[in-house]
Amino acid sequence: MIGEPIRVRLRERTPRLWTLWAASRPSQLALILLVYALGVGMATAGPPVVVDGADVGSTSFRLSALAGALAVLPVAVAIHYANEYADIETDALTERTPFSSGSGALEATGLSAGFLRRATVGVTVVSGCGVVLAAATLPLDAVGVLVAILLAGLGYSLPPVALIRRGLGEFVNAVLGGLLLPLYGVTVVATPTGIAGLAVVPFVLVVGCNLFATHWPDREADAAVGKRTLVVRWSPRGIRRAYAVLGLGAVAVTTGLWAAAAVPTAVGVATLASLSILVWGWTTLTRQRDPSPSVVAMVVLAVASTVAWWWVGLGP
Amino acid sequence: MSDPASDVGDGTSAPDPVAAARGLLERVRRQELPTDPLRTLADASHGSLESVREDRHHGLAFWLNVYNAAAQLLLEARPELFDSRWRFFRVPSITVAGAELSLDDIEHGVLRGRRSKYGLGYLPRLSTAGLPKAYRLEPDPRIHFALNCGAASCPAVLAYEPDTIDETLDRATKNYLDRTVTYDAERNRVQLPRVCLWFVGDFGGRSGLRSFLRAFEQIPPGASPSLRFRSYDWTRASRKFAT
Repeated sequence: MIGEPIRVRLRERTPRLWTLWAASRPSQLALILLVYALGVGMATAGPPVVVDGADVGSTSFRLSALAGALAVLPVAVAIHYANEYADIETDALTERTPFSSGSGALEATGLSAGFLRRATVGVTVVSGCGVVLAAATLPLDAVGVLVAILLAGLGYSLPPVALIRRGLGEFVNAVLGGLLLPLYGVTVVATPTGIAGLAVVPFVLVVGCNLFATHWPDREADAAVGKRTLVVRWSPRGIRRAYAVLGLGAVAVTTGLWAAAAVPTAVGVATLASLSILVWGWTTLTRQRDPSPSVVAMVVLAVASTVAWWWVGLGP
Repeated sequence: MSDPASDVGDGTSAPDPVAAARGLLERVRRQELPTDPLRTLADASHGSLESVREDRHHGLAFWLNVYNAAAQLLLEARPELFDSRWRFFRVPSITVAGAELSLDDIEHGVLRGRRSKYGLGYLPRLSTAGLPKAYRLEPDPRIHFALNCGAASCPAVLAYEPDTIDETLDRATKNYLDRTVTYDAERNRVQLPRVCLWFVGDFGGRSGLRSFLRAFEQIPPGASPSLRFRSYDWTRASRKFAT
């Protein structure tokens, strides 16, 4: 690989900076911004997802959307740092995949755990300041959702709650990334209705499927350090069954929402087409270490539904 | 000359659905009760709609009048629906030959020959309009300057007759383009209404769109400017009839 020597050189010359970069998980930050854009796009499509349609052409819309994106980034970085810090033991034991929960940055650089602990505290403080600044420019319900994301995200990894170690991690992660994050995008520019929450349920369920797949290769390392994820607790058969239930649930909810005209046809079609990739995910789940099929399904769904919502909002 | 508002059948012979569509639009314009023409259209047999299927002029005039009348009736009956555009265009708004049709069914299922509203004019429409295939028309880009859904940016509503459909469509198109197109010769740039982007495939792509603009004297012969598209004003503005 061409990038590998550059990466190694950067890691050796500036280990702290490289660790901060790698532990922030840039690819996941990009996905977070995409899901945020999904929420903003939902708001552009107008009722019944939101009370009043967002005026996409206005300066206030653009400023709010930008402020919302800037506010959520440090929150996401703080959550990732906390997760990296909490996953040091797992990272040391597992044979990593590109989608393992930790970046393995500390393991690779030999830096102490204390470095990431301090980074977590620092970025959390920055996030707090960001939330305060956001409160001056964004609607209060958006600030509330952002605070909920920060608290639940930290609680996902860190003691005393450490939800991931109690078998609740998958649920919290799916709700955080699949529900709260797009809803945050909606609330930044408009007032959501209950239908906005329902409209992202298929995405929540697909995030759940994705978590089964990405946790699977880490299950032995997770079990060794006492991290009781669902794939550690359940048999492969049970995991596959749960994955199928979530996938079929996503199809049923999407079909229902479409039939009830709660989501536009473009969104319904984009979602159902993306969900078909879950069949590939299901056939490989627990049979191969690589979780790529499920990751592809989630990312394609995020991209396709974001494009569809924006197209409905900006289109005829 | 007969009054189109009353030309919906006298009860002794089979009413003419094409005349009923024209009469419906006239009654909507005059804010008179549209019950009779609505019933004529709903009860029309496929046999009585033969000219609508077989003759392009009849088809265009019929469906443009039906669409514009149905949109105004829907705006009057359920104005709140317009706040959610995808619902407004999707709900059944009128019955023709027993088929409940939405505005999307008429525009994209029939007038645009079953093309998706989301595909820039290049993708087929997934759902059918509930009418036989024979009703579908080849897309005529001028319909985008004749259909009025009740938004502020929509063109004014005109009445369309089979005999004069091409002239009237040309006039509607020219009027709309004259009001909305800005050609900047210095920058070699032209600003266009948003519908030209949404349905660019109906115009034959970007080059076809430029030819269309030349034909309607919006840009000089031989000019090939870059294209910019204005935003669409979706503010509700019903009853925009041409005077």
